[in-house]
Amino acid sequence: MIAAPYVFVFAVAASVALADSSNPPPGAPWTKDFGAALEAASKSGKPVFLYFTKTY
Amino acid sequence: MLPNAALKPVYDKVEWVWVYRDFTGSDADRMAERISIRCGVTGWPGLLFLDAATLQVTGAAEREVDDFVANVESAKGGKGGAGLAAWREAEKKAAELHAAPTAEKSEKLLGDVDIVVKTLALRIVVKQGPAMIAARATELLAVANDAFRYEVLDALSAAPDPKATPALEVLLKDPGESRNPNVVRCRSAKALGKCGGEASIAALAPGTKAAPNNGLTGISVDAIVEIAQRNKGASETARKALVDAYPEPSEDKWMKPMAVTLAKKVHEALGKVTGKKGAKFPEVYDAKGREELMKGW
Repeated sequence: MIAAPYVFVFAVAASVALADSSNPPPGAPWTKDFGAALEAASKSGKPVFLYFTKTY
Repeated sequence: MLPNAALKPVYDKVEWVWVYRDFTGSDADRMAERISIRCGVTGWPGLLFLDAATLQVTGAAEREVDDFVANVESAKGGKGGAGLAAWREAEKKAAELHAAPTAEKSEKLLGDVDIVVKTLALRIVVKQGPAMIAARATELLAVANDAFRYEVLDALSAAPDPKATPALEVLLKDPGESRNPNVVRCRSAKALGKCGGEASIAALAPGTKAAPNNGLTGISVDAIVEIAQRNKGASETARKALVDAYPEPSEDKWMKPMAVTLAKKVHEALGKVTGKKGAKFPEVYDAKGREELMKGW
């Protein structure tokens, strides 16, 4: 059975298999540093996209 | 970059943040918890957009690639350091609370403008002095954040106090700004059943008449019973409200069994409130059966 947080990952990158959800999948320039993302977004004006997941 | 032709064009349209909770209480987990509180996340996975300039969630993203790409394309963000400065200030207060979770500090920060600071303070107050929650119920239940209000309502259910009754009655009638007004009503009704008095039955009665598939009906019935069992003088008021709570029978294939289940619940509740047995529940719950049940009490 595929765990729920992987559904999105499979949708955006069908060829990527993940060992767990503690780390983001390869591909998009993910960060785990919310502060750094806020700082960058406040300068660029880009929205912040957050993917919330947890241990299952 | 992912080898996905559909997604690649939007890689640089947003700042991508991965928020993972393992509930260990580690520094990383507590940071993820604070971000989740800020964004009002109560279920996983969650896909949200946030405007860094205001620290406000601006929308949710869908999971299908085409929809997701459209969501990213239409998401808005703003420039400016106000959000970042507010976040840094909130993080500082959160760290202070974590280092020294005193009653004095948490009671003060319960009134903080930042929802994360406010929520963390609430959790300390709930542990150290839940009476404060009832005393400030009006203020706390007016906060336009569902997750925060859920925690306030759960705290009032766990440590009932009649002082919270007026605020609960107001909230039950009008949840105000909410993404989940019915959930707010359900939790308000539950808390009101534990805090309220005879007069609260009038506030709970409309909830018993919601659609049979709405969880609010059963919670409202239970709350009325709780009040009546706690206040023997309220039995007659409760009886009247519950007699009126027998749902209209339904011919709808899906709704019919739920109406019957609710009717049985109301019937049982009336037995508890009156101490009587009442009429036998009919084999077929139709208009005639409903009328006879209502007359039986």
